[in-house]
Amino acid sequence: MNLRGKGRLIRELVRQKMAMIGFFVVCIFFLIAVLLQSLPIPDPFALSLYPFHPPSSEHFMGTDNLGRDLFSRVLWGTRASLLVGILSAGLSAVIGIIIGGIAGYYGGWIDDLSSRITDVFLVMPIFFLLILIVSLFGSHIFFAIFSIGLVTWPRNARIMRAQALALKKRAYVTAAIGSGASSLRVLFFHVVPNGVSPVIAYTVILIGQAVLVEAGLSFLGLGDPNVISWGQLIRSGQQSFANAWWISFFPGLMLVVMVSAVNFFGDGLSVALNPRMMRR
Amino acid sequence: MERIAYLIRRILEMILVVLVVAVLNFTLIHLAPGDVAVYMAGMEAGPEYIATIRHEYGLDLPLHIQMGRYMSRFLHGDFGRSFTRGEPVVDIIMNRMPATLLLMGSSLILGAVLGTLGGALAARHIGSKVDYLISGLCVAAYSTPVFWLGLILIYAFSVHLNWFPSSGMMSFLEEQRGIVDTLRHMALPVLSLTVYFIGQNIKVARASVAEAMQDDYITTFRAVGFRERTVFLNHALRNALLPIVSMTGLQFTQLTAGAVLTETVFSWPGMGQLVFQAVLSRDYPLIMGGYILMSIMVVLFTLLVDFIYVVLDPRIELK
Amino acid sequence: MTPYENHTLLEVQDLRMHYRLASGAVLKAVDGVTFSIRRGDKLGLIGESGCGKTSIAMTLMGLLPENASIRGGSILYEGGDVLSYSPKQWREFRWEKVSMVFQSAMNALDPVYRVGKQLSDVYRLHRKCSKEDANKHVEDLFKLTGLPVSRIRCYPHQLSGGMKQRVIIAMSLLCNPSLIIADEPTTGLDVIIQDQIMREIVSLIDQLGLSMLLVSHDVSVVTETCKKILVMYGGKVAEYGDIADVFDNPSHPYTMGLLEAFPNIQGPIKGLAALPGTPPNLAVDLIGCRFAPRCPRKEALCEEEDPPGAKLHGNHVAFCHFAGDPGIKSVNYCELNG
Repeated sequence: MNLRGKGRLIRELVRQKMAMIGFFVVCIFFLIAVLLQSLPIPDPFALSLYPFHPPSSEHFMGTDNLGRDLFSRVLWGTRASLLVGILSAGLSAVIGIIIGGIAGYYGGWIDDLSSRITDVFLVMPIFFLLILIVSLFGSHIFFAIFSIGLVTWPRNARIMRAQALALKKRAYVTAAIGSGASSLRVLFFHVVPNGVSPVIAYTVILIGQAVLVEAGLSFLGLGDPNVISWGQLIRSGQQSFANAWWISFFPGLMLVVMVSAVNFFGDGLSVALNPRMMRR
Repeated sequence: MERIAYLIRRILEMILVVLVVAVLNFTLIHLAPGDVAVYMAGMEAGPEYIATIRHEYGLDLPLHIQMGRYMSRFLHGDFGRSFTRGEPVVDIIMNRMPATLLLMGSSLILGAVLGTLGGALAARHIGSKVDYLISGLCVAAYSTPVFWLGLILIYAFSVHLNWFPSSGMMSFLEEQRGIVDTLRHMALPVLSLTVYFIGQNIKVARASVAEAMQDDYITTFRAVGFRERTVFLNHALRNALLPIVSMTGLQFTQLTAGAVLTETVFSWPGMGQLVFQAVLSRDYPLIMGGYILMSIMVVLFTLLVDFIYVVLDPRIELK
Repeated sequence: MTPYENHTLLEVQDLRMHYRLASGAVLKAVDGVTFSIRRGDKLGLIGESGCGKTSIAMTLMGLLPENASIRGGSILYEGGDVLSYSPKQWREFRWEKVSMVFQSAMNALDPVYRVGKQLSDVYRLHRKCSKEDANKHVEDLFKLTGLPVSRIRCYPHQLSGGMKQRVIIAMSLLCNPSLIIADEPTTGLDVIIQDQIMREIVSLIDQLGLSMLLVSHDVSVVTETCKKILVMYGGKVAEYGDIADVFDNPSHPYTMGLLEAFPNIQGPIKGLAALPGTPPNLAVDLIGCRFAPRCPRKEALCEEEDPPGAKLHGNHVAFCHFAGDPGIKSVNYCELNG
């Protein structure tokens, strides 16, 4: 994408109001996650004498079963969600681009093999696989990120493959080859940068899905016990939901807000990258 | 015929999926840190039992022989034995299968039907304020964690309003059981699972119907004198079904994830809850068996959807 | 303007049709068009895209979108006022009296149903009869249009372009209409098939004693097949008359340009003329002759006054201030283009 293309993209994107709102919200979450320690909020680990306290002016979201301030814990949960979401989606994108690019560009047995793998993973119940992996290997958060990334690259690879297949016939590719560039160089400096847009659009949506998957695993007790995450918070409030609804309610609400924001942005990105489809 | 060839190829691909799952199971448990025998026998098992297991599964033998034995057991339907329940994994899980099928099936059908209707309606009023609102709600719907929604529904409709029971599949007392009773128990879990899919389906259906309405043959059939409603149902909707059915086929894997979470929240006696309990007690044979059988189920459903798709679209050909 | 004849089938008088655009502006797609079609006539409606010819076809079939409205004029079919038809009358008119052959480039057939079923469903919509009778009728039409009967149970994607077009033709003949509107029926087909299909259409029209309104942008097709020609420009009629008259004596500069742009194998070798300029924006109120901005012969009068119709020989009429002047006999666009 050349500079002119990028300008047009930004303009298209800004036209999508919901997408911009989504982006804005995600940025706020991002800032919260980064600036956590400097924020004027109570210590999320500090026990107090007032467990199960409903939301009040002192504790905006109430306190949990050990008297810890829920608002602060919910804000701390932002970090885990964003970390898992962005890193695992990013990993998935990188692996997908590499494998999909090679498969589409070179064809042959690499293409056949990766297509088979892709087809298999699309039909496999991934959540179950993750449950198995995490229960076997441990629930450290980076392991979860790694696993999610390893299990979700096939769809990205398929998108990249289709792009590589289409783009390898373009003029600038032939020109690059003709001027003596090695094929790997052509692939990663010419084909990939021009074809990566739909992969980016899908990866943004994948962020949202990864966040929900992590929340699900944490809810089942398979999350990293040392990290505060929203799924874990919801789990902790499950037994006492009838009496202290806020403990499970607010973390879940945050999930809805964050994942919706990511999805709105992702949708807007898709439309901006391909304005022909879904024009209102 | 082209379409039959396509189906045969799909069946072969699905068989491959199941085999890959089996191999994955084997690989993962051998890659995991620790003694495979302990995984299979359970953390609490005594040394004699562990030794028995080690012998039974030939865990001292070279890997490729183990793999061979494993695949052979697999093809015979032997997925191991659960140490927490003392029975073969297959039996335990198949016992629970109907409950999960009931939950998943209802959600899938409800999600598809309501989603299509909602999408068709939205397509009629594309670009309007109502359309924007519905689209926004749909995004929120598939951004909502299903287990959280379940908890909220229990709180609202069960604890407070007492309209529906909050857990289980049937009432405790024999005389209260029956179809209506089961339906009442199903209401909340199915609802929490379906919301996610209605959101996705409305989105797809809306785009699909709107696009179908732009097709040239719509003009043809209006020109020949068919009423607008006939043109819409017989031609636009009929063609719009194709992407919707496709999408439904891709939703099975998400459905299984949702099933585990929903069954856990509602204590629904299905496979998902079983796997959850297995995770708690680290009953690996059961976890792995659940993974395999769930995969087989997804494979079968996917083939069913493929079959339906081939019936609906005469243009399918072997690529 | 047009002499009323006893066997006049369709008479369009001063038809005006506007589109309301999303921006609020009004696009005068058809602005005062008059022509008539007698039994057995073949009228070619010719012009560039956007000149209003497809809009006229859609108006005649009652297929206008919601933002279109008839602003004036009349359409009389066998004396009946089409524009004031009730829905019941439209059902008896559409496809029964007038039917349409769509562009072959269009996917005019539904891809998920067999072609035979699509045709028989249409037939059974109009005539109460059994499935067997409908199928028999479809078979007859297949034979008439030169389609192998074995193809009745095929899906559209299994047919070649030419076959699909014949199916569309067969569809138009289902209810024995009197007038066929052919909207660019050969666009999108390869050149050899184009010719063949066009000849088959004309032969069917003659064989069955039907009338045809051929909408096209291709002068050569019209001159080969039609007896009368209506040249449209910017929503208005530029020239109208029998083919022989118009061809021998083109009296509107646009017509001259069209005919010159069409290479003549028999005549002297001339450069291919392209008409300079672009079609007018019909959403803006226009004063004077629509063609003036592109006309090599334009004068001050042309930009001030709408040209009236100048009657020439027989049916022939041209809407130019200077129609009939010996001076503008052949405007040479080639000279203009250099």
